[in-house]
Parts: sequence; C-alpha cells; structure tokens
Amino acid sequence: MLIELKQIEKVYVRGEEEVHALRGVDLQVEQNEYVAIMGPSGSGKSTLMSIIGCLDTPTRGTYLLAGVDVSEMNANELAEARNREIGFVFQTFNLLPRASALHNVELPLLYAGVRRRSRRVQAEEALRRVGLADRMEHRPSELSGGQRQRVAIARALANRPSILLADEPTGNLDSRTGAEIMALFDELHAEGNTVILVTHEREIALRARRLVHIKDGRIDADELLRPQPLP
Amino acid sequence: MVWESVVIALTQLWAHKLRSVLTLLGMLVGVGAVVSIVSISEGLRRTVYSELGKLGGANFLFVAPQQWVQRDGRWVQLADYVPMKMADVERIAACSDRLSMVLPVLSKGAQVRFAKASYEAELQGATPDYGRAWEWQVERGRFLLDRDVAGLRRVCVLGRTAAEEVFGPIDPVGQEVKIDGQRFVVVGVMAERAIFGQDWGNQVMVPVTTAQRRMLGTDEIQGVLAHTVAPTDGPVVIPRILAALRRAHGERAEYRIESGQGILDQVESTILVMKLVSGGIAGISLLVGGIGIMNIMLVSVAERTREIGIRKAVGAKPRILLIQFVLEAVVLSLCGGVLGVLAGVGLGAGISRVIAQYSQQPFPSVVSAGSALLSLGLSSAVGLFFGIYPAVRAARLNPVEALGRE
Repeated sequence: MLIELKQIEKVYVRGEEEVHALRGVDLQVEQNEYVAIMGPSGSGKSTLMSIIGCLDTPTRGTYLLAGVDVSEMNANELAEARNREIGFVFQTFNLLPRASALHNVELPLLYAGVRRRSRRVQAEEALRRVGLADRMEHRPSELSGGQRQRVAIARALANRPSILLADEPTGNLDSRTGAEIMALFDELHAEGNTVILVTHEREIALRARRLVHIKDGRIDADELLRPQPLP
Repeated sequence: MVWESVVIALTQLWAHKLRSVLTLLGMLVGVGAVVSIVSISEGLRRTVYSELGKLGGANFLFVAPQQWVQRDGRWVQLADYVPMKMADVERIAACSDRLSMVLPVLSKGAQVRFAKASYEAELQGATPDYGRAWEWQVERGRFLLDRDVAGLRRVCVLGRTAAEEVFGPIDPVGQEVKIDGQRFVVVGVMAERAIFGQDWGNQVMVPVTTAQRRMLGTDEIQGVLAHTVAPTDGPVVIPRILAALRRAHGERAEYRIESGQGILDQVESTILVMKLVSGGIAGISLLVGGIGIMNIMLVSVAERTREIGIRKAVGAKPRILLIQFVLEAVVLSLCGGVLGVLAGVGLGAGISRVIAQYSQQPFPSVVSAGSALLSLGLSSAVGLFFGIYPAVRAARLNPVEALGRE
C-alpha cells in the first residue's frame, strides 16, 4: 500500500473559531493508481492534498506513506519526505521566475543532494520526457502556459517520486492545452507512475481510473471508473 | 549546497542592485570611517616618531625655569623665579651619568646683513654640541668650537636658507656679516633641514657666551636641553635634575621639564582617542547598517514568500533555507565591508596627501592588513547577527500558506 490514511482529521484555528477541514478521512491508494479527488471549494480537498503531499500534518489520525508514518514528522523530516516521495504540479505552475526551465527542474535534485553533473543529466531527461528538449534555457516568462506546466511536470518527475500530486493542473490553461496536459498525465500513468489529481472539474476527474468525492471534510463516494490494467 | 546558496544570494543582490547598494551604504560608511581613521592615525604616529627621532626622540629633555603660573585662571609671575645660567648646565650634566649630552638654549630674533642684503634670522646661542644634539650636519666650513665659546669670539654658522638669502651665489664662509649691527665672521653653513615641516635654515648660530655678553648683555640662558642615554631614563633623571637645581637655588625654585617621552605619550593618547572615536562611529554605523540589512532581508523574505514555498514544496529543509538567507545577509554586508575598506583606503590616502601638502612634509598613509581583516570580519559578523532573524522567519514559513500567497 502506497498511501494509507486512517481517520485523518484537520482542525484549523481561525481567530476564536475552530474550522474542521477534515472530519475523519480513510483512504488507501495503491502503487500505480490514477485517482481523482473531487469536491466543491471548501470541501476539504485542498487540505487533504496538503496532507497527502506532506506539506502539512493532520491534527488527528495516522498517515502511512510507503509504510512510514508521516503524521508525526517534524518540518525537516517532512521536507525530506516531500523531496523523495512527492512530485507536485500546481494550478499556477509555481516556477521560479528568474530561473531557467532546466534550473527549475534541477531544484528537487539540488535539495536531494544530487551532484551538479548528474543533476543536469536527470533534469534534461525529465524535460525531454515532457517534450521541452528545445526550451531548457528559457525562463518561465518566455514560455507559454502549457509549456510552463510541462516544466512543472518535469520538475515533479525529476527526482522519480512515488506520487505525482496535481492540484487543478489545467485550471490556468485553455481547453486544448489542458487536454494536452491531461494526455501527458495519462501517459505518465501508463508508464507506471502513481497519479493523484485534485480538481473540481468533473471532465478532468473522469480521466482517472478512480474517483473520490469529498464533501464537508468526509469522503462522500469512492467509485471505480474503469478497471486498473493488470500489471 | 553552501556554494549554491552563495550563488543564489549573489543573484538576488544583483537582481535588486539599487536596493542592495543603498542597504550596504551603512556598512560602507562605518567600515570606511574606521579604516581611514586608523590609517591616518598610524600615519600620524609614524610621522611623529620619525620627526621626533631627529630631535632625539624619547631621549630628549628640555628644562626651563618656571616664570609664570596660572592661579585662579590668571597668569601670575612667580616671585621666586630663578633664571638659569651657564652654571646650571654644569650642574645638570653632573647630576647623572645617564645623560649623554647637556647644552644651553638661548635664542632671539636678529637682523643679518651683508652688503645690501638683510635677513630676519633666528639667532641661537650655541655650544659645539648643538649640531650633534639635533643630528644636524655642517655642509660647508665648520661648526662652533670650544675656543669660540671660551673666547666669546664673533663667529657664526648660518642655516642654509639664511645663507642663500643673505649671500645668494657667493660662498659665505670667510665673509663678514653684521648681526644686529655687530661684525661676525661666517665660519660655516649648515645642511638643509626641516622638522615637522618647519625649515631650520633661518637659524644663525653664534657662541652662547658671545650671545650673552656681547649681544644681550646678560649671563642668563633660557633653558637647558639634555639627552638621556635611554628612553627609560627619563623618570630617574628628571627628579635628580630638579634636586640638583633646587640644591643650588632653593627649594621653592620652579622648573618645567618637557620630555620626548611625554610628547610621545601625548601622541599615543591622541591616537587612542582617535581610535576610540572611530570605534564609536564604527559601532553606531555597523548597528545602523545591520538594522538596514535586517530590514531589507525581512522585505526580501516577504517578497519571496512564494519562492520559499516552492523551494519547501520540492524538499528544501528549513535548515537549508536558514543557511541561504543568512548567507545572503552575510554576502550583502561583506560587500559593504569590502567597499568600505576600499573607500577607507582611498579616503585615508587622500587625507594623508592633503596633510602632507599642508604641512609640507611626507605623511604616510598606513593601511594595516589587520584593520582591513578586522573590518571584513566585523561586517560578516554583523550580517550573520542581523540576518538570523529574517532567515528564521523564512525557514519557519508554513509551506501551504507560503504557496497560497500570490
């Protein structure tokens, strides 16, 4: 089991009042699954993504990531877990604006302690994989939206993480470019990557093999859209 | 990883050139002030030591009778004023074997005439030791001899400037001049000389006895100049001189004694004051510079919240971000320090040149590697100290919130 969430609760204190973002989530994700987490805004899906992505820790409950309990980890251990296990793709791309595409993709490798030479080799490989072999030295401002998201995907792939975690990856793209990006996720899944999509768009969510509905901090429905291909 | 952080730091500083320059201005001023003041005070010390060295340096003593004292803010003539005479020279010479040379001091302004030329000179009543005491060489002819002094002879030795003013191209040795209307034979001309930028060439030396009897009509002298064998002899010799003089003239006779060591001590304490003042300036401007750095680093952290979030999301540990932002602050303040050292060296050299020109003597500008290194070390320390708080803020940022901020 790659991801195992048991009775995850998350409570934020906002001023005087407590906000229960998650109220006991149980979720299991296997290796090479393609899961979409869907829900309206305020449903807790972003909080869930933060916890799965090790950006945040749950208030209660346990989270086993590749068999390791990450729910009690400190900031340094979480950073290491993110670096090793998670590749993020964000709606707003979140690239460093002053850095070249190559440098952006090298970033997780830098923090993994990979040496300069192999860092470059791995980053170039990831950029080639997303079809940006000829844009490596370009800065984000010199790239189109779709190209920026490809750089972000290359960055997410660079350190060969266990999970690709995408938060509304097509939200800032036109529909044609969005479709291209989704086709890329399909390919990456077919190559053996575990993909988790967080979205509020049904159309996007339906690309996945499994659809998890979240509502008011709880899992509302968990449906299998099409059978997993046999390994 | 540290190297990467330095590169990131330099890139950031370059990206915000104007802001960086304004921020490190504080460091620049502080470090520059210290380096230039230290350089000037070292120059002052060297100049004083080398110039005073020509006068015997720390061995030099000057004894004169105290004629005036200050009482309740007014100068009053002492009733017990005892003028010094040639016999006092003998007394002082006899009082200690730690004195290598003792000579009378007697000087006045005098008119030197030859043919139609006239020159306002400084007349010195001298003994044969006079030239040796000041390490002053005779250029032509000879200096005064014992028999000149013993015989109250009307002979004189001219300073270089006096000789040129009075005689022009003519060789003065053997010529007859009139000094205050009396005839003197020129027996020698001294070499060129200046101390603390002041020309000694306007002096005219005549035997002290001649000056007393034939020109001033007195048996008094103005004071006594002595050299101790070693600089440390002063504290031993000075009480003995006073004792010898009071034995002869009574316990109430007052004298003032100046020593080369005393002058050097004064210079040292002046330099110390300069260094303390510069230290104060440095402290204040490093504090101000440090606060500036902290301020700009806080701005930088706030502006780059999203970048910090991105770096955290891809696995930057808090410790790495801490190092990165502290290094940025250190690089910034170190740049200020380096520019400050350069500015200080330039300023010190410039001021030294002005002093040299104004005082008409060489004035070295001395930059010690020690003060430069200390300045650089201090400015790094300031960057480190004032960079820690903003860096901690960066390191502790919550990644979810940091990413959420546009």
